[in-house]
Amino acid sequence: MTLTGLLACPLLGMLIVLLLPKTAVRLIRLTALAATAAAFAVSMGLLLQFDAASPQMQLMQRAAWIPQLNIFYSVGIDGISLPLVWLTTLLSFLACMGSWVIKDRQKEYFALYLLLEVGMLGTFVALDLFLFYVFWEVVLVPMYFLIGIWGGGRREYSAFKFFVYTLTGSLFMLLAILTLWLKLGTFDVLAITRTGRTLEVPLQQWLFAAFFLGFAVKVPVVPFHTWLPDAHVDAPTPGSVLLAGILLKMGGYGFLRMAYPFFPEAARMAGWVIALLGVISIVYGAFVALAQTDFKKLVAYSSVSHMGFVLLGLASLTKEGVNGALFQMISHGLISGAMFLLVGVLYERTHTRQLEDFGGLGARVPVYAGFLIFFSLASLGLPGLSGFVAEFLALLGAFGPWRWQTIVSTLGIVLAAAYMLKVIRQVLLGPLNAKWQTLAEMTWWERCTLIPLMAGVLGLGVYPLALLSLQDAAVQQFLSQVIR
Amino acid sequence: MHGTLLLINAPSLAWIPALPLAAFALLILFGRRLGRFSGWLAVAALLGALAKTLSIAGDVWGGQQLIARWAWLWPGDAAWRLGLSVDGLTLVMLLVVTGIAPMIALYSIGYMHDDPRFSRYFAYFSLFCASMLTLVMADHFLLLYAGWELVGLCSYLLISFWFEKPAAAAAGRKAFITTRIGDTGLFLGILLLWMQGGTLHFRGLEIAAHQLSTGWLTLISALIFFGAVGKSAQIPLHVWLPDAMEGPTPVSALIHAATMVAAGVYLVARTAALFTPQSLALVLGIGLATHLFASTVALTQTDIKRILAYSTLSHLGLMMTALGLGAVTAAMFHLMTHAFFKALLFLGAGSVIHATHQQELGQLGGLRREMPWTATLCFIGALSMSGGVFFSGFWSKDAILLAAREARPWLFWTLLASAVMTAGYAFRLYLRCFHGGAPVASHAPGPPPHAPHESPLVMTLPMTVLAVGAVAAGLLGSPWSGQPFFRLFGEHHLHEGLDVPILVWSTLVLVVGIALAWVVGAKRRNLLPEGLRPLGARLYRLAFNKYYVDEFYEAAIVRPCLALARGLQRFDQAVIDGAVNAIGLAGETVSRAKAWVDRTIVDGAVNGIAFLTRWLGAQLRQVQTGIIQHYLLVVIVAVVALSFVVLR
Repeated sequence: MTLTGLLACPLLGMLIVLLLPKTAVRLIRLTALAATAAAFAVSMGLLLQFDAASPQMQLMQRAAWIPQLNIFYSVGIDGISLPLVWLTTLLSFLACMGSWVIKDRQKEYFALYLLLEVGMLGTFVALDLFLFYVFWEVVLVPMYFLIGIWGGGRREYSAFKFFVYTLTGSLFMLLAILTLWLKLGTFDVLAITRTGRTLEVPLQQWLFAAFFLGFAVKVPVVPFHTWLPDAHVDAPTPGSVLLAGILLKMGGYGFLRMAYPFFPEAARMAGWVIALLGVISIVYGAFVALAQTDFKKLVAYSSVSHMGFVLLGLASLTKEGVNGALFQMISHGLISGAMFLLVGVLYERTHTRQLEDFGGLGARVPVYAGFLIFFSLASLGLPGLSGFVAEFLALLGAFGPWRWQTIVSTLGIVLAAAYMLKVIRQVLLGPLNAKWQTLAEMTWWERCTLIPLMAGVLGLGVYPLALLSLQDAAVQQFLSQVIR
Repeated sequence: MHGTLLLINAPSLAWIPALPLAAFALLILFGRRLGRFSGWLAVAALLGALAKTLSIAGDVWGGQQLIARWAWLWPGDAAWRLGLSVDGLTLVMLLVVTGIAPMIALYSIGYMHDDPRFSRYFAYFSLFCASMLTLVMADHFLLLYAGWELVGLCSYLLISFWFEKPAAAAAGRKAFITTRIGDTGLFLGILLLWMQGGTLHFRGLEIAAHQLSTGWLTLISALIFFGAVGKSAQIPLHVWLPDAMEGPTPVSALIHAATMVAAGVYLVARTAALFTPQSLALVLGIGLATHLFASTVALTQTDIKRILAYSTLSHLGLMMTALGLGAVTAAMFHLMTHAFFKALLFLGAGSVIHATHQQELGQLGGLRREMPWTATLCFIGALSMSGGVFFSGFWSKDAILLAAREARPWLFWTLLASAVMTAGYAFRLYLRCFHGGAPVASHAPGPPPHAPHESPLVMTLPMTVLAVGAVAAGLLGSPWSGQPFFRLFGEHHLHEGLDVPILVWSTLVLVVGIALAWVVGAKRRNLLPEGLRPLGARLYRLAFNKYYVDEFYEAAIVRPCLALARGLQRFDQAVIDGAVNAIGLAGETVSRAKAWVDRTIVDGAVNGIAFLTRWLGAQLRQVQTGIIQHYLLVVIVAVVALSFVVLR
């Protein structure tokens, strides 16, 4: 169980898919499923090997790549990246099951899909900035095609917007990475974590701002969020799942792994800006979600609101807040992934996403209703489910340093109830819309994609200790690096 | 509490919420296969919880406190070890919940017998009980908050149980969101307590209270009270409770009368150590305002469940008033007796609705002939609620009146006056349902009027048990039995014997109330002098329309919020996304312009030079004719021209 082995699973899967004939759809699907399942198995193995008590990077591997430029293939995980790796492999596997809905050009689809997984996993394990940047950009390409080819609606526009927007953000990051290389002569993340703080403060601030822009677009932070609703809505269901479940977390991960530890002084100075942007994202996202009439768009805006808690928790620089931010990333990954799967299930059957087109489905498809209610409740932060723990911790941590911001943020909790209950009411309650008299119940295949997510959301909500004990040591070290 | 409190570790406490939780899990997963058995499963689980409660009651009564804790957030962090604990206060709540819930579950088997979602109903019912038991047993604010939200969820699910009715769907959502506004206050209170006091365990509250300044304490306790205001439907967050009557009637009895709505009262009692004189004044003011306000509305409503809903509001207000006076035990005592008589009255109303499919007073009347047993039980309930002498409601109301008389005499008289209203609406309801003639032929469309019948034993039996409670539960706090209820709360300086003036006054008030109910309520006679009638009519309309609070909220809060949401959505589209698109467009325009420049100028220059060269070449080619005479001519002309230039 090595990290290289982890990356190899989807990569090999992709190569096999490329070698298979175009018409062997069954074989292609099974290969992809096997590859994602293998990656998940490896990540479970990593979980067993991982020493949660140690805050250090573990399972590191390092090999020279372009020695002339001091570039290494260097990977490793700690308590911050491991949960995200686990989330990535889980969601990739489930969304791969969800990819059965793809009906054309399966070979290209699954090849790109597996490439996407390689990119996502690489982003979370890379410990060399150059390698990191490569993986970061590798993610963009397959996602661009997934949206542009297999999407719906204005898919070309959305794919293009997603690509250009994210690329623009990451260009700033690239400039910062190059500056770091010129100043410090290395791309090594751990080395820069030690030496980045020696840079003079104004430069730190510029570099922090550049990294911030790159990551903020990904999270996304209001006002850099408008690519998200378009991309989510027009992406095919598995694409939306990975977009919301994983890609957004790459931004949050970037803050935790790079922007903050590299430039602690600048990060502390920017604290109020980040807290403020967090609050704006929470409240603004929630209000805009409330106004949506399209199911998928509503869920997309709710992501903006929920990811605001990541920012708020991070800005607190307290044990509770940062743990909460990380917890929220995992929790939101599970919940939003499930929500997009649920939207997809309904869209598959009805070919509409307008909330007012539904109504009364609770009587017709009770199992679907059960799932939708469960995940809506998770999304609105019901205690006992993971979202509550995450938001509670983030708010608890932020309440000390950012009192007013935290108080305003609780408005987001009330609004979350308003828009999620709006979904439940418009989709499930009321008299059954005559159009859906014969709507089919969820298949077992579809249920199987959701049950693991349900278990995760419930498990983390009832017993958060499981995840917190995994990440806490690394979070403590993070704090000692940033606060000092 | 008792001088020496024994703390006993008892992990088996977890069985009390775990049994209904297990019932929920079984019912939600296999409910359809269980069919009719679902109801009995829920009843059995609740009876198991009751048995466990009774088995520990003796120990708690003897002054022990049982406790069980588990690590939750961080290993080895004592502040976040959550657990269950049972002391005197919790024991009372446990007895109320596990005592009443199985009865109502049993009743529901009859009430819901032909509902297509029979097992789903009992699943939610069991989840509610598990959450409510967690709430009252929690020894930590966070666990209480979890139970608090979960009971709110179950309330939502059960209010919207008949979700095909749009009114039910809307009522559930309204209840959830309104209470969540209150919950936000509680949430902030918890955060603030953690920041300032450093503990969230209930056992640490008194120590924390000593360390905190009055200002912080007032703020924290006011925020906690705001949570209670939402859950216990006090002004200004009371609007959800009357609408909650859209749910099945047994649900109204259990959740919206006996247990969940009382959770706010429990919360204030549990955190009493944090309350300062200032915040107690707030509790008193809001409780009293709700009490009076709701009584007047209850007098005017015509839907039997809504009358009971406003009556519940009013009694919750009364409990809050008692808490505001610092009379925690009296408040909890009234909570207990109220749970019995109000649950009984709701089940009675359910019995009437079940039998007649009507719940408008105008469509009811004379039912005591067809439903004598229900009528008798409702009479007992109404009498207990109005404070009929030696009934349960009498003892608990007396305790509150006593506390009021000691603290603030004007309050005593106010509460007595409002007791007239209590008796008034209770007997207006009773008389118009069960006495008088049968209703005139219904104008309402729908199925032909149902022949009323007495409800089956599975419904009347639980009502009878509750009626016993409505009669006798108050004896626990009466001087005749030595007031064990008050001793459980550690109050030792008790009133000896019966307080005769209060007995006389309450009886007088009861008689006046019943008389008014008979004359004005049942016989519909207007007692006001001619000159006051327009004013009376106006006041009546005001109360009948619930003082237009719903309309006010709709206009002042709900619509502006939705408008803001839509405004921000347009802003998002037009400004933020507009800016993005504008930048994109600008980029595109610039690249187009560049492309043009490239094509026409840069490329044009290159092409132009090529063109020029070619053109010149072509011109020059014409010179190069290959005819020698032409060359000679050019040479001669050139020589001549040059010689002119040079020689000049």
